[in-house]
Amino acid sequence: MSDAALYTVAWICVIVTSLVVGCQFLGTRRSSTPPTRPSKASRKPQFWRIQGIEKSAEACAREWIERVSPQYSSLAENDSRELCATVTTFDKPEKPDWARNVEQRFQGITPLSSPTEAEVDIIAVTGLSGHALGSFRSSNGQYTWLRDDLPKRLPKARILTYGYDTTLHGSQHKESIRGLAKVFLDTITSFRRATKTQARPICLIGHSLGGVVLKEALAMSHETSDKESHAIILCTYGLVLLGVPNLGLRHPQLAMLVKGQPNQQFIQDLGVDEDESPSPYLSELTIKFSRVCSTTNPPFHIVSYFETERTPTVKVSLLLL
Amino acid sequence: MMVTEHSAERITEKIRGVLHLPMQHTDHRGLVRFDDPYDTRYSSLRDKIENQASRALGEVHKRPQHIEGQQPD
Repeated sequence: MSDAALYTVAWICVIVTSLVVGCQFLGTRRSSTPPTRPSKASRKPQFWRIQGIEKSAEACAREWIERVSPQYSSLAENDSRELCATVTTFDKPEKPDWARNVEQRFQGITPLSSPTEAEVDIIAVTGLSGHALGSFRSSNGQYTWLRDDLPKRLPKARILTYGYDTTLHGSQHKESIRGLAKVFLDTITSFRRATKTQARPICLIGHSLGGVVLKEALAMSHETSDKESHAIILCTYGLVLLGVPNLGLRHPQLAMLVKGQPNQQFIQDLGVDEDESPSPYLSELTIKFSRVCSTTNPPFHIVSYFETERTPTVKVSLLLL
Repeated sequence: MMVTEHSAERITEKIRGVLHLPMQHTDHRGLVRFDDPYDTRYSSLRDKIENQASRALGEVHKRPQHIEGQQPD
């Protein structure tokens, strides 16, 4: 046999052997490593809201919460007939028979605590693309100070959190800050009527866009002739603002994300003009809100927090555009 | 003034189907995230909320125009 023939045979042997060994290796791997669930460490905790719990089922609800998530959970009064629970778990809990639904969107009011001796309402409002409960979580995702600590420290406070949809990319909603504020005002008025607490003092917490929504809602409440809605400004004594873009968001990619969508104006209202001054809407809101503050007696107390650290920010994916 | 080392966490992840949308050069989600009740940033915030709640209860009767026919519960 010639050298060339021997060389060719040797190469064929090498290729065949590699294929056989490779197939055996893959087969072994397939049989020895069945698909496994990701570990808890690699999965993210999820927030669940359980609504429509009849008060008669309170004991069942407490027993269920104790089993599902004893440490990271809440059970509070939604109105005179129903309770609302929240739990943080890695897997979706099965819907109990005694509840109407289990969901994750947390739109509207979610009561996190409702002690019988409550004398004041603390209402938190999340920000742009935020989550009514998830936005206040710890870095490991389970502990949420608004639910898991604040009620213990403020036993005479009812803690509520408010959620609303501000999905931006692909949104077909023609949102406006005024519209969000009006819905918030109506929802909170209705909730306090349902729980017969219209005269209870209120302290508000607004994060990012949530703070702008709160300022607009308070201005609306101040101006309205509707007595129930007007009661909100009369009952408000404190406002905590965290990272609220009072002078406008300076983020051109935000505008690119919603370009051509019905919510384009909504983002323009939250931003700055070409000369870096706040949008006309924000300028007008500042004047309106100052008027509200100066005419409320005694004036409500305002605390404002802002980020001072320059941090990396996300770039909008080209795929999205 | 609240600064957090977790401010920029998960910056490339989508939240509820949308990329997070911070201000230019500043991601302020960390302002409302605390790992435990002993975080000094949190205790500062909690004290202020607590203070506002106490003031509210102390001042509630100073607003004579309070809702007609209703008293705070």
